[in-house]
Amino acid sequence: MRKFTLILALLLMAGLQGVFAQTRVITGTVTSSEDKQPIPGVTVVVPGTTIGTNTGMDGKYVLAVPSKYTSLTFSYVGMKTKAVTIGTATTLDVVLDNDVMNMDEVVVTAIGIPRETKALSYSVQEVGADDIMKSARTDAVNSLQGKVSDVQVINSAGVAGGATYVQIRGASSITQNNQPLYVIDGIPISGSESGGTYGVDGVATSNRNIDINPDDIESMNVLKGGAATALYGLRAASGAIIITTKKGKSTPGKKMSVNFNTYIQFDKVSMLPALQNEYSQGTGGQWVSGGRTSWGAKIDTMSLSKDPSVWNKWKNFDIGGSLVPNSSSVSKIGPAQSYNPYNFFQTGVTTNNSLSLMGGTDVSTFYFSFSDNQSKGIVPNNTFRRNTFKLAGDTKLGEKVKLSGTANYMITGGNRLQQGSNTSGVMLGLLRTPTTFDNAAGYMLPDVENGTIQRSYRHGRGYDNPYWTANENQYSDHLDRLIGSVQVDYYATKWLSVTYRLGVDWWGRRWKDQMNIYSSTAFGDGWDVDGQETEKDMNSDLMINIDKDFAKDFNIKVLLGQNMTRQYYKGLSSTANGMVIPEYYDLNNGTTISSATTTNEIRRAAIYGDATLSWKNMLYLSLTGRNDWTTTLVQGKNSFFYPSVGLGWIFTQLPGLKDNKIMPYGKLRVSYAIVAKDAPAYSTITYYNTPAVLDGWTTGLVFPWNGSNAFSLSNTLGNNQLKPEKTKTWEVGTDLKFWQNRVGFSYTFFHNKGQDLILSVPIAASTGYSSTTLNAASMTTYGHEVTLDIVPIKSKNWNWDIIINWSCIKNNVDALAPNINQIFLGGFEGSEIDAMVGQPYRTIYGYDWVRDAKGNMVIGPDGYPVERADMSALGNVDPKWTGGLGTNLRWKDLSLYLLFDVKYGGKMWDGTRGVLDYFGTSAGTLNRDEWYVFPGVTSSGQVNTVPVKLDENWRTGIGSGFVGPMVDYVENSGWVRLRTVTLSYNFTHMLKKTFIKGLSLYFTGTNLWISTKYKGIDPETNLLGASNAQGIDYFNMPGTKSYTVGLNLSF
Amino acid sequence: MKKINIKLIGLVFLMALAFGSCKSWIDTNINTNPDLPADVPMSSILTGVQANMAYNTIGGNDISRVTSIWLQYYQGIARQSQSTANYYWLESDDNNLWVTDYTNTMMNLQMIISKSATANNITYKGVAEVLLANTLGVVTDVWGDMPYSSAFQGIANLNPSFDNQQKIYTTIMNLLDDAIIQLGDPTAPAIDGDVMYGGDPALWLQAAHTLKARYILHLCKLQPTAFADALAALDGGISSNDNDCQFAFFDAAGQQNPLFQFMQQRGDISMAQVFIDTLNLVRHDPRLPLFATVSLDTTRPYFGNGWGETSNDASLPGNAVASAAAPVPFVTYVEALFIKAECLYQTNAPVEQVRIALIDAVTASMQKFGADYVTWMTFYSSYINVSSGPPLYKEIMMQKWIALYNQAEAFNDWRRTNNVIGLSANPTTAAQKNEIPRHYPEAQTEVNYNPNTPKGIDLWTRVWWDVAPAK
Repeated sequence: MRKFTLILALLLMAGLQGVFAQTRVITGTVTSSEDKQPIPGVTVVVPGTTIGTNTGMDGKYVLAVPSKYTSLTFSYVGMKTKAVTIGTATTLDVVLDNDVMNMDEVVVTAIGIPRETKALSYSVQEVGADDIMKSARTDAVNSLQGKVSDVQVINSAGVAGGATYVQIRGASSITQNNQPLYVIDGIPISGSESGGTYGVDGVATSNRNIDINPDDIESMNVLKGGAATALYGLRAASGAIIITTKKGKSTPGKKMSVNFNTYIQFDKVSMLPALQNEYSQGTGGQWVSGGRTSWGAKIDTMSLSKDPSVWNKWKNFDIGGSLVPNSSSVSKIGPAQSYNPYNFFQTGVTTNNSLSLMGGTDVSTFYFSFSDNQSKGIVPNNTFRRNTFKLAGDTKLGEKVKLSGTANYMITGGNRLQQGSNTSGVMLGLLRTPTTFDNAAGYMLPDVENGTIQRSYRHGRGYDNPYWTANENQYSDHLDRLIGSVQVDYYATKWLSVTYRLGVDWWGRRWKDQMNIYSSTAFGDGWDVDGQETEKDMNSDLMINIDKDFAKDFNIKVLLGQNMTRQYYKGLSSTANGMVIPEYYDLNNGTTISSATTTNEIRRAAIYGDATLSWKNMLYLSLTGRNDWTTTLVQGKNSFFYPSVGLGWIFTQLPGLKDNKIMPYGKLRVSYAIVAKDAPAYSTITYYNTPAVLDGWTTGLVFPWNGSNAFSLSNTLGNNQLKPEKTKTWEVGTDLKFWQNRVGFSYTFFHNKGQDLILSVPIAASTGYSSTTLNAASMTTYGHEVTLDIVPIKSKNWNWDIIINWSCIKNNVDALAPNINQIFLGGFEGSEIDAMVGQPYRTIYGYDWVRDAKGNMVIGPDGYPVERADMSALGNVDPKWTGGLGTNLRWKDLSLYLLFDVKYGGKMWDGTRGVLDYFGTSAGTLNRDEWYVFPGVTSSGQVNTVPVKLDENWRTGIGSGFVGPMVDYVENSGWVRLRTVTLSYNFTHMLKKTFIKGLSLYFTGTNLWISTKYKGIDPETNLLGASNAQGIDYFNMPGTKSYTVGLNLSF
Repeated sequence: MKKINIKLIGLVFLMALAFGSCKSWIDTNINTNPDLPADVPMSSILTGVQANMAYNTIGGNDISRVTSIWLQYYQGIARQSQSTANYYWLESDDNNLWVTDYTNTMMNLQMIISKSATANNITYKGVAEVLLANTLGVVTDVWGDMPYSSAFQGIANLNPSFDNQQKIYTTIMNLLDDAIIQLGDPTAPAIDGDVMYGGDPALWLQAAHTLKARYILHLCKLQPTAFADALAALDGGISSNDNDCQFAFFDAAGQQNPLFQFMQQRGDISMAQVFIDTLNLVRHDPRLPLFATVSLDTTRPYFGNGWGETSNDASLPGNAVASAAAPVPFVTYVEALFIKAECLYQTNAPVEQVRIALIDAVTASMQKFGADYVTWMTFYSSYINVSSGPPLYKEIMMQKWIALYNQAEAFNDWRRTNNVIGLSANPTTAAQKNEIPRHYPEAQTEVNYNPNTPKGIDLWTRVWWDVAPAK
């Protein structure tokens, strides 16, 4: 680090030299060629220096320019950039032309380098501040949904503060992280890699994208392909999301501007599984108090009774009375009832307030913001809160050096609830409860009777009453995070600059997981888990930028850089089991206490270079190269180089086509890149660990065991032969603009071939281990991306634009490892999401019925189908194609925005329905008394005609997804949904004479309409959160639709 | 321009310097997990293996619960246990057990054996061999052929071949013979980390002898000499209930017996009608209150669920096997005495001798469980003292079935004796066969990742020693 300090000092000294040079003051007005009006906010700079200013509200600027500089550059979004030579005059009025074709549009690319879109040889897509604001999502990443092609954004849990899974252009890795790198203002942050993945049970935690205040974001730019991310190297092997935050700006005549954004949002549960309300708790057609299932009597044949002969031992549980047949002679108090379990859900409320202040002078600028986001989920006691503070500023030290820095402080946390395959899971207890048992009638009994004080439908055993779990089994967490950076830019000459940037992302999180005594999950013992984890990511980049015109018509841009990163994670948690005092949660209340630590440390270094050569603004050739060194591979295998090459050809610059009216802009682009990636930390050695004495049924044994400590050789075999994995990727595409940019079309085809992919491989246990890490897999991914934007109406009062995105991806597993044709990605044994050779990446794998060659079910002589003894592939999780259609209609100051989001195809395992068919609570079990003939053939090939009943005997046998095959519960999870509808009104025009510079009011609805064949909750869900194993619904928390009212005010 | 060039050179130099520091920055030594050791002493491995064997390999819910349902001690009344009772027990169901047997048990025993050679500690070697032989026995008795001679080699052999069961039995015998040599050596030291026998080689020697008798006896349908050989092998075997080879559990959370944890955390099983009726109605056995809990039905204090019945009120496994601190027996004095009784009968010993051996075995079982047996024993002895021939033989096996309650060894006896105790199969199941299963299906991960895994195995396949009786 000492070396960097030295570099900084040198840069500063070099920059200060210019301060005393002679200057002259240039003034002028910048106007638009179209309407001759002055343009406020135009950036005026002396190229190659820090010297610059912005025009004021009247379009005027004043700038002191040292006499040795002879030109000024004027730029403004939507206008063509203009370079003007300073003559002898001190007044310089400039007229800027509209850039109808966005020829000078600049996007931020890898390493924070701004590049003109036209020069890129790959596709990029951007989402801006206004879109982000109006989509009103707590996690800004969700505002990419439906707007960017080939980006899958899955908000995996319908809970406040849940994680979001993001995947760009399909999966690139089998078992490693497939989510993109997040970069804020050039600093790679710990984003999707941290948090938000969880097991089949427990609570849904956040991933780290959620810490960012969406209102601070100026733009989110999605870098999809290898050529786009090649400079970031291995951390961006799954793409990158480049977040540029808002910056302060100097506006002559105005010291500071203030922006205030507020909204309130109401969430309602959107879709829920259909349940039956005709049959009571019980078995064999009889009502049974405490019975596990709902195969009891028909409710309309039953009455409630509080007669002591039938209502005695369990009266605290059957508070409303015992059920007796209508014909029974005991005294009755009324007819038996069914209760609606879905009354459990409440209206969630989110309030979001954010305030930002920004301003500056020609020397310094600042941006400050504060935000508060508070959410209350649709389930009682599920909460989330985020506070953020951001301070960013820059200052010019003379004409050669600019110093800038940012500090973001974020506090997030909430209260989370047990979910999934978890006897304390909210949905699990809620949906398995028979309709004749009223969970809402109390969850805690005052008397300790029969060893329990929890009131649930199985007499306090089995599954928690959802009211109990929402109130007694709390999981809370609290995170503090600081993302900071300093940057020095040194403008050595007009064409050469040097930048040094140092960024740190540090977060610490503490959590407390408490389970009261008498909770089912802790088996009546209760627990308390106290954990802390911290991660510190450091990133340093030193870059030399060269931008030079040479010869006639040639320009070259070169970037040379050096990068060093360190990621360090440490976690410590202690678990106390067997609580002694109820509702007292501390480690000292346990009878067994165990602790665990986790560490992850990776250091990497790299040198990289990027050269773009352009000719006549028509041909752009880019070359990049990067060499990485990593600590996660052994010496000799830990240095690797990978290049990229790209070519962009703006063929409309050809003499014959130039300035034609129909298609004024057309580009063809092609690129090729290799992206390499290292191994996870600590994969090269086999360790010993504390024995995991578990049997898949119980919580097992805890060590130290009765005073003896123990170690066991790890089941994971280390591999010191690992080398980097490589993905070869190429893409070809075109960008076309027609008729004054009223129609734009963009098409890209990409093809990725991953080889030597590093994966955690299960191996036969007879090797002595159950898994190892190998360079073995290969995967081919290719796809088409189409974007079409149309502006059918564009006038002073009316504007209508339409943007359509469409993409399809084929993501095929070519090989995994020798003799290994499938790998378990997640789920339950027997109901799995696997990667399988010859199949798409995420394949649903499980048991099926026995079928003949044509796929007909083979029906046994008893009239029922027969379960296959082995498992097979049952469907592909990922969609065949996805699309988005966004349209914005504006009339004067009123605008209406609609975003439709389409997911075509793709399967999900509706494990919830499978289980409810067993328990007899699903609507699918209403036909229990009807005759049914299974479609299929007999073993001799005849059409089956044997009528059977889908009764308790069948359903609790193999006729449900609980013990039977999963195949009947693999459902199409495609959808068409109205993702966003926003109606907004801009009051700014009415307030021209006031101090208010902007005021708009908006109403946003999210997921207000969904059309899907899926039979459970909103199919945008996943049991395992932001993990590779998508496509599992097993008592997941339901998704929501939300209604938001927001106000944006600036002055 | 000159000035700039100097600056440029300076910058390039600095970059080179920064880059040069990469060497120390990229220190691959940091890629060693600071939270896990790369090597540990044998004693700490042994403790973990013993615990895993008790919780999984020998007493685990995927071995003793499943075979106990098939042997009708228990009835599966809900969820997966109900499927087990209906003879659905799939590749994915026994996978956990297979994996933990190979990795957490046998691989770690291999580590002890190889470390014991380096450390020249014959007790660790002997103890590990006894535990390995026991594990091989348990695994091969339900899975038949299994990888051994080319197993445990990690990446060097990702697809171990399957040794046939005959070869596995030879290995078991060799391991026990060598263990007997090691542990019988007067210089064998006491060892640390042995939470079963306190590191005493003499007690492990007794266990080795008894296990040898057990595994010889398993081959009785193949080798007529097995009974005499087993009887001979018992010499030096476990000498009292106090010397049983068993693993003790405790009341504290995380230290509890596997069946206790299963009943607490899963439930899903009750006592089976067959076993309860045998103990209660037929025999008035004083072990009943220890073997089963009082039912929730006041009209019948002890009852088990019959076929297809799923009453939650039925008796549950009792404290003898399902209390938090109930030990998991690996091999016991009681078993040794039953082996003796059976072998005496089968080698045509005088009937009085056989009767005494049976009474001894039953008495030891009563004492083992702390039953109030004195009065009952008087009646029982008078009944036994007139019994002989096949009824006496059946009584020996019947009593062994009762005494080995909740132990997977009973499943071996049942197959080995061609169901002499006369259990009938579940008539209500829709499974492929209404016959009591005899074999575990191959484990899912082995099927998936090792192409050498045998095909065509189902629940009714017979292992090598389980020869079908001539019709």
